[in-house]
Amino acid sequence: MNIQTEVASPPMSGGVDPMQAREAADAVRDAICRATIFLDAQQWMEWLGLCDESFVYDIKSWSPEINYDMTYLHASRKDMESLIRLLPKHNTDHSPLTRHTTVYTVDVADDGATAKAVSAFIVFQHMLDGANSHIDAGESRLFLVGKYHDTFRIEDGRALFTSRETRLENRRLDKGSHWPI
Amino acid sequence: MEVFHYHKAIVNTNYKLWHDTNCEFYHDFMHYHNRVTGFNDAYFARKNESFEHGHIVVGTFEVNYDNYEGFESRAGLSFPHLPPNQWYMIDLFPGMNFNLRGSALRCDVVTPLGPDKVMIEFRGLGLKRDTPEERQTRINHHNSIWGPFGRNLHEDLIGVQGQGTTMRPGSEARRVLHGRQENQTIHDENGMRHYYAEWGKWMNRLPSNPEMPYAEPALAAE
Repeated sequence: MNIQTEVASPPMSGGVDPMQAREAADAVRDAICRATIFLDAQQWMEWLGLCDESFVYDIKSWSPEINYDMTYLHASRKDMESLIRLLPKHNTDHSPLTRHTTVYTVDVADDGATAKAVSAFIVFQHMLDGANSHIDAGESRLFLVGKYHDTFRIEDGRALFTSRETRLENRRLDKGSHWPI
Repeated sequence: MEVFHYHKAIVNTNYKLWHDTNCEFYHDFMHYHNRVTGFNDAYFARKNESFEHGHIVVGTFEVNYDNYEGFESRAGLSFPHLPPNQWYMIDLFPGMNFNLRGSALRCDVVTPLGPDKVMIEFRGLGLKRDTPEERQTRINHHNSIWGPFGRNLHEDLIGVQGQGTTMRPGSEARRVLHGRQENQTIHDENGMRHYYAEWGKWMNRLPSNPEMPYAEPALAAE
């Protein structure tokens, strides 16, 4: 089954006060947009600041080559903190990544305490050097395409990520990345 | 066994340089993960063993995964008949690698796309009989190092592309020095000398001077 083609669940906002649901949905959109800005700016801890203590991060992709729904990364918030803290000790391609994120759907639960959202994203890589820095440096290349499937906890008008499933269309990933997408 | 992972990379480098990363381990110095989990007496005693037709086996040792912050020992899950936390590799000439780190098996296959471009296909394998929990553990272990968002693979790919960059047409004389001789232990480059000797036979080129026809290496060189 290609789970990318699954139809989204119907809205869960039937029982919640419409004004409260609208505010919660706005909070969700705000959190997704702020996450994009923090990730683009490599402000990793600020990005994690948008996440609940129970946050779980996944990068997944369906592979027709092996007929398998693959997990490329699975990490708790604690795992992500550790990975981020150790980044300076690793050799990393420092070509910046920028994400273009479009929120498609936000569904607020009946009790207004949780929400789900689906967004599309495109990630560009902006070459620092490449194989020939004279030619490649400054070039922007399409790096990744996919969707974010996010869940949230709504508290005091603020939406905190409880999970992010980053579903990639790509299986060709070239050098890959040390950074969250 | 069952394949649970597939992705590919196309990078601007020669296919032999990718095989090189799976045969010689001096480049472990570029991997923070391998330095902290591996650099001990047992690591430096690992043996590179050469076989006919350019094939190589890289001997094992016990990896201390829990020395990497946030990681734990992987002793709880292994492959049949493989002691916990071991790390074996088999390199098949001219570009296939089987890399077994205790709980997960990785297989690389290279397809040269030109003298300066290669496609590498990466597969990760577990056991067909895995429970869902065991499979997830194998996948997590595989990805932490070898996934496209893992710690080591990204570094290897940066490394070989950097080598490709230094060998672009118009660069100065292109040479790869495989001169370390350390009693066939892990940083000895006997594996790649053995590989290039086989390559020279197939191509009828002298590895140290490809414009010359192949000649058997002098004994003293090995």
